[in-house]
Amino acid sequence: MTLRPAGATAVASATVILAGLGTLWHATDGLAAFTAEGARRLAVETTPRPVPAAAIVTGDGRVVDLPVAGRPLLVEFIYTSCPTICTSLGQEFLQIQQALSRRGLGGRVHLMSLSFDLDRDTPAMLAAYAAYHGADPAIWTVGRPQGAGALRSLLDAFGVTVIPDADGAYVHNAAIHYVGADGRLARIFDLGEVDAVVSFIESAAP
Amino acid sequence: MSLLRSRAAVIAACAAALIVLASPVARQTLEARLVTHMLVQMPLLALIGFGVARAISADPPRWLAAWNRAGTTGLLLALFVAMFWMLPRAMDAALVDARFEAGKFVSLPLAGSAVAWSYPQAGPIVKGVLNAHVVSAFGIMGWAYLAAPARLCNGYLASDQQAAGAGLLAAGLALSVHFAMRILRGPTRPRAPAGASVAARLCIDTK
Repeated sequence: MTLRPAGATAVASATVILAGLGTLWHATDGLAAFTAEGARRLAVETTPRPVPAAAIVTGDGRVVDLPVAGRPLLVEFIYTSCPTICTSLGQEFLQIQQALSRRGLGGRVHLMSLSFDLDRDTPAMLAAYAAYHGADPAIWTVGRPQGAGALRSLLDAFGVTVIPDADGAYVHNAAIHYVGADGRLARIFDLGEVDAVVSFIESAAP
Repeated sequence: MSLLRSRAAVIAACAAALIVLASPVARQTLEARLVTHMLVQMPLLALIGFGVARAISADPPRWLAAWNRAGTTGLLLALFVAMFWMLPRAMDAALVDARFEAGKFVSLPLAGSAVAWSYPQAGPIVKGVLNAHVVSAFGIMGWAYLAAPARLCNGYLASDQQAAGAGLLAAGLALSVHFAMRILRGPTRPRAPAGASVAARLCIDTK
């Protein structure tokens, strides 16, 4: 090795800087996403990801298939005993349902509230949640995946993390997920983005 | 002989600590809360690397010193590792992705040993800048975690985020008190002789 210490250090330091900046750039998707939630939203927008097929038990006792063939979906994950954020999710779905019906867009997309609380959310509970939030069954289905395996694969595919809270409640990254007619998760909207969701549905190809 | 034995004891203790930290029980316990993940597990991992490096030798090995003049390379390495693990999504990933978890158990001890073999070599200005940077990083991160309107980590509760924010601020405060005490107590290394050049007084390596 003939490099003088200063030269060797300069080379080593420059390597560390380049590798470090490259890693940070890569790890933040080019400084675009610093949180897992931001990364999830960016990832599905750039590369829509397929949603696994799953059987959904609905509040009125039917079993429907997810994704719905040829029809875009808006999906949100809830549990019916949720005191806080799922109530907002339910209210936002109601607003979307109303806005879509008003504009005659009810056939463009189907709304689906999926419960991840398989223990407590019986079909009766799901039906009560649907009734409480004024779900129109033609547009909006409240259900839960049939079995823990189906739930797991759905949560993984959507990138939803559910963690139990102190007193039997759950914390989860709440959002409104758009699954295209091709069965791919393509957009994730934040809570409070009802107008953005409606205009997105309006502008999406029928 | 006793020096050798105590060195071996330190290295063995660090290795044992690493094994304990890597055990599923310790990982689950410490990673269950953001504050212990960030302010107990991660610093301990770095400390293990620091301890092993110091036990091997107080000064960096000769072959390494040539690549690490004034500790530049090692300090940069430690800074980048720290920056990476400050990303909320990196911590989230460590919870669900074994590759990230393994990477954490390798990179943080590595960063710790890099500090052990680099910080003492750095000049006083670099040290001062680093100290200030570390304190402000704790302050900024603590404030960000306390003030964030949404959860930053999908794997942790909002209350956890608040606790971590408070913990980061407390750690920053503790560090700044520590640095202030060092300044008040005066320099720990012997002063350069009266006739020494300015460069020598500033501990700048002019060779």
